[in-house]
Amino acid sequence: MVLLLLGWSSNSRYALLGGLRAAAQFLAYDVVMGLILINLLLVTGSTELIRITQFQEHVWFFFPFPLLFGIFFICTVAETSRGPFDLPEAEGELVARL
Amino acid sequence: MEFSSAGFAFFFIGEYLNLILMASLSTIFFFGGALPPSQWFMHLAGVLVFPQFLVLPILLLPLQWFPIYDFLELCCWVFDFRRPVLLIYYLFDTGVLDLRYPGLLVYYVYHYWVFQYFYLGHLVYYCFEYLKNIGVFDLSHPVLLFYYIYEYCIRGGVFDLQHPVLLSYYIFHYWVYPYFYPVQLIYYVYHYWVFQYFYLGHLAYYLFHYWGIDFRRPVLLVYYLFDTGVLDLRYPGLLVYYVYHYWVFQYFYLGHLIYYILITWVIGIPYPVQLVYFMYVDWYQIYIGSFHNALVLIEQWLLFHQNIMFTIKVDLILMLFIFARASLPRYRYDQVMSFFWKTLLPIAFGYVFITATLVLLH
Repeated sequence: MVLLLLGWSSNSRYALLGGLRAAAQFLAYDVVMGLILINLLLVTGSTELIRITQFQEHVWFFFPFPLLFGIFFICTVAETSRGPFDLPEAEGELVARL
Repeated sequence: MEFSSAGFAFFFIGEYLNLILMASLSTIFFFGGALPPSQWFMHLAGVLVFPQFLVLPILLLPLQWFPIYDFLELCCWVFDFRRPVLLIYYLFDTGVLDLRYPGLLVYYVYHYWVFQYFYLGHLVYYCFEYLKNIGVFDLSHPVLLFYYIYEYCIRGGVFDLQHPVLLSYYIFHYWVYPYFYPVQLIYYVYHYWVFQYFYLGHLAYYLFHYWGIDFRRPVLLVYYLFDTGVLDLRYPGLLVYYVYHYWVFQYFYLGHLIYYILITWVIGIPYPVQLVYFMYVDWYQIYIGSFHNALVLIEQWLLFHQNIMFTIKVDLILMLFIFARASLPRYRYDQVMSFFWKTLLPIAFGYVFITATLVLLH
């Protein structure tokens, strides 16, 4: 909602489009990221970061769940709106109406 | 816009903080936070994969930061008899010359042979000088230098590094022993000329890097040389002079040596000190013990520095960000949406069900 308001309040159609895209992207990666974290919570049985860390004393979670780490990494890239997922900041594409 | 852009700095700082935060979360969730690699993992990697003959060289790698090389270089400066003031100082200081006994001077005129012990140490140096002057052994000529290295070292079998026994011999005698036997240091103090071949090869390096001159931009170099009067076309002999008397740059190097010594002290000294004194295994057990001792050393060091462990992991994940940005094109909006909603979401859902089933079964 804040992202939408930010895009709208700038009184520019490109900023409005960027805000819409940011909001949609936020929804998309946030759901996936939450599901991944639910996986880890199921395994560790705790939401504390210290417990999660101590649980990996012998085997890091990367080794049983490499695919989950890949998805989580993609989500972090989208969360920081960098790399291939920097659509909200891609002025060229917004102007070109892609 | 250009001058008022400082306000965007906060935006960028926020972005980078976000990056670091997400990388830290990834580390905590998937790479064990600040925990070092487990002993099981380390042992497996070490015993099965790691070439064991590299253990000692790798453990000694941090010693390269130790400013021993700078000490050696300083020693070379101290005993540089190409600086006449220093020579006179040492002659007086060691008692060779003593003005309270003027007869000593006359003594040395007649008994000049006492200097032969001094000359003996420089015999090889003079041999090389002579050979160089008549053009046979011009070590400043790179082709000749490599030719002689090949002739006398490689073809003669001395430096045949493909021979593992010889390799270990040279590792121990030229890399390991000098650190632990100070007698060798004293040897280098008096026989500093053995480093001249090292200096010779690094002459260009010093010239270009100590001055901050970018070797890749020769125009700047030439400009600088002319501007400072090092090169003066009115005196072409200057070029030849500098080729043989490059030591006039040593006063410039000296200032930088002090700088590098200070920096390497700050950086390098804590490392070996911690490595030796904060371990449960003494350092000499590296020699007499098995590879397991080295593993214990590494693991204890990692346990002692968990913050370093965490930082290393976070930095590696941040590198992944950069790789992804550099190697992947920007996706279209509909591609991103379909990818997230139709590909990643079902996979994550399926994983949740699989994990829940496995947890329940256990």
